Amino acid sequence: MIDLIRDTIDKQVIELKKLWANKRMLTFQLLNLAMIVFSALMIWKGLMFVTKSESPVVVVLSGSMEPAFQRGDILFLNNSVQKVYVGDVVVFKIKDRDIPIVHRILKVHEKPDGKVELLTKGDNNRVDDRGLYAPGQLWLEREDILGKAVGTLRYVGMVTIALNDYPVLKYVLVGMMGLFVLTSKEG
Amino acid sequence: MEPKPTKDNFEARQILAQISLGIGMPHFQPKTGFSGSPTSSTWHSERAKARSWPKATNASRPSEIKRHKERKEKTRYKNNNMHTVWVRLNAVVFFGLTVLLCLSVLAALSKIGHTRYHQPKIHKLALNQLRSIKNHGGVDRALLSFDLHADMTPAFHWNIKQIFVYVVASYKTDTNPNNKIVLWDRIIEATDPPSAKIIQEENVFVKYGLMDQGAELRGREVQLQLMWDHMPLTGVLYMGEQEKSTTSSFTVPHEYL
Repeated sequence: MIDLIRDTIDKQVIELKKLWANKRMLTFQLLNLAMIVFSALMIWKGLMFVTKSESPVVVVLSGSMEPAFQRGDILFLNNSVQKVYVGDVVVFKIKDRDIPIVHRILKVHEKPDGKVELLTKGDNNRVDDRGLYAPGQLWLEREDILGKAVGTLRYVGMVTIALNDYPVLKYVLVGMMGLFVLTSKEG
Repeated sequence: MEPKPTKDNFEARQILAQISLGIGMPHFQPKTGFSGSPTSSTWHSERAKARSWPKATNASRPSEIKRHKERKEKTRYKNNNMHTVWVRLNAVVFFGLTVLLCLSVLAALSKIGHTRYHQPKIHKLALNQLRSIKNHGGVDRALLSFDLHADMTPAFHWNIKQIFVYVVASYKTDTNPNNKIVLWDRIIEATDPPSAKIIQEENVFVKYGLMDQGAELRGREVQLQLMWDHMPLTGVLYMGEQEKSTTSSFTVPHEYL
């Protein structure tokens, strides 16, 4: 196994040297790499535009919505809906806190001007979310909501969780992918 | 007649075998080629000829041998370049993931329109008893119990992981033209026994009090409606609700009790 890895690395180094010698090829492969990166970025930004959500895809990090959503599931969000209703699963963000939370709307109070005040709760939690809100905050508003969960795909988020838990893995993976794209002969 | 395989012929076959395996020809068996039936053997040699690999006759010329060697070198070089194990591992993993993704999408698509023909039957959702209505620190809170008879079985299908059933109380006040509050909820998992999917309960006490934002609950008409959320194994989440015409409502007393 070690031999195999060493062998692969040697070959990659040779390939890189060859690539370095051939500037035309190098440019081509770099453009190839750039295209992959920018396609991914474009898809992400396009999704942001369509869903009007700052993060159209989120990974579930806690078990507070079990058994519906487990750690590692991904959720697709849609924020282009004007209104949110009671019972909707929404992702919200508390001011000055980084991590968004996925929970279900328990109460909706609609004001005459159309503004809403919301209270949320996790299906698997015993109490509502007032304890999670900012100190003194009793209600969420529409602006706090990043999006309504419209779809789910299981296990995909495990990769993200692994990458977050072991940051080294992130660099190794990105580096390896970049290298293989650079040295691959497909394009 | 079966041609007697020469040494060079053998070599050519081996190269051919290598290539065939590389592009995945399952029926090609280089080892049994010689002892096998004459037809298969001739087929192989025909193929070898068709590929125009150097034959014994003209391989004897030095230039041909050189070219042959070069070609062999090229093949090996190419194989080296492709770092085959990784490329194949990569291909297998990504193919597997693609298949999984496609199956997920198919599973999600397969039940589109399920609700058109399969609707849960809500036989009864009505107030049983209003236990109390009090003012708690400036806000009105009512505690009540209700009867619920509903068969949720039709909502389930193979892509449903759980159904989240909840009772919603809606009412209007002067401050808030629209209030919707969940009074009770239950998670019914697809793996639960069939009896759990039929709710037949009397005098269910609310899980969450009917609490107003202010003190305007007294004298209001409150409508009770059953709603449910379909949580899929994979795919789209969608809601269902009791038909408005079959919902029941009650009026909260004008005095605290």
